[in-house]
Amino acid sequence: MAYHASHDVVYYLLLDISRKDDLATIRGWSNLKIAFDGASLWVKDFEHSQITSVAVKSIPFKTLFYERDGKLFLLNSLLPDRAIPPLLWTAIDRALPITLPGYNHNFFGIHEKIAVLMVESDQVHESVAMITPFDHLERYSTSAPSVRMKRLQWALINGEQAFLLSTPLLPIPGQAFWHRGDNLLPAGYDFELPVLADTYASILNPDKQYLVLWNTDSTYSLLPKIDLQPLSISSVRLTGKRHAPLSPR
Amino acid sequence: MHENYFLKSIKALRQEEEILLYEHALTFSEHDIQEVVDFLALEFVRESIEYPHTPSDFDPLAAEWAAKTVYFSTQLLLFRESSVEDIASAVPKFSLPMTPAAIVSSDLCLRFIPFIIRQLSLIDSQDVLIPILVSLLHTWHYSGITYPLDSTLLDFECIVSNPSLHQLYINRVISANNIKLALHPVCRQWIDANLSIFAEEFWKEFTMETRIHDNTNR
Repeated sequence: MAYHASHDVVYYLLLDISRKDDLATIRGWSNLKIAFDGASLWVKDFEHSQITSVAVKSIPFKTLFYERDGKLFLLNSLLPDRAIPPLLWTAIDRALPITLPGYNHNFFGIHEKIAVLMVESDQVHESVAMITPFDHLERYSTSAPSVRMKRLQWALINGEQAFLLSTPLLPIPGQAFWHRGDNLLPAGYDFELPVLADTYASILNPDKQYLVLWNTDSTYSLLPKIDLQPLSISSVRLTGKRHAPLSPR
Repeated sequence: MHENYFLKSIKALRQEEEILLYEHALTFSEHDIQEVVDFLALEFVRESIEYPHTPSDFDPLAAEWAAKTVYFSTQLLLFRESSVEDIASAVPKFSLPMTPAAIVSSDLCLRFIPFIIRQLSLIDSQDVLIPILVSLLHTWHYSGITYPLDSTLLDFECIVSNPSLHQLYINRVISANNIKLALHPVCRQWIDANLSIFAEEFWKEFTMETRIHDNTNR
């Protein structure tokens, strides 16, 4: 690969010290060094990709330089502007400490509650379970290779729907689910506050004896893990016979 | 009291997967035999719930023949008083045409033949009974999938004719991991179709072997 000459260039940023807070977006870049020079501050060691990034471009009232032969050139200029200032450089996250807001001892809002809410999510997760009409499962299973079924577990829910767990799922239409621990969430959805998933599970399912099936309207149902049984043709057939009166067809 | 040793032996075989041997119990009344067939018919009903598609019917003659074959060959594990010719005649021949129903019904007992062959070869690898049983398995090869048969001698016509038996056959090849049979040109496309895109996950060896096979043939 061709060597990119600009990768070696060191970039500098000059900013008025009163605008220090505007550096918040780039504080996380650990390669940066910062120094204070009277009423202004310097940040150096930007890489080319960083200096052209939106995070840097969106800092107002800055002056950008690049260094060559011990001189600083204004960005996109061929004339040297000044010499490198002799300063004491420190890591940026050390020089710009974060102050957390103090703990509010007079906060009386502890009785406020949050609602569990399902929202659509863009994240890709592998589906591990599905709900499908029992008829579909019955029709598929009688002609299916046993190798496709023996890894799966299933349970009949509401007398007419089959819940299937484990992968690879069967090639039949149905509602797919992915999981966060024992929470099974509809594919394409996630909790509004995913960080609370474990909290929900520990409240709804303290003994971990259930699978918590979430619906898109944020309701849930509990499925006892003990009800799951290995999927096989005979299991489906016998269940179909036993439940025949329940689902008139 | 009259004891039906035939029934006891077949019951133990089916339910405990054990072989019970009774000395000099080699002839049975019609009644005894009928009891065994009835028992096998019940077993078949129980097992056929698990069969894919529409299971074929029970074939009492084939089941009876298979039960006798297995019973007499297990007798010969221990009790040998007869000469070579007698041994050959002790294993009866199946005279009726081979149908899917006969294959599935006889498999109730014949599936234990591979274990009997292994036991025989542990006692004496030159035993005259071994080639007799192996050639029987070549004909009834649905029951012989767990035994390394010569796959060029097998006839798949009857297997393919019935979708239920066909699927059962493939299931057993996969669960027995019989890679030699799976690579047989006739079987291979079935297995491929059954494993579909999950072949790597379900049966790693099969994907590896097919890749090697394809590369050497190129």
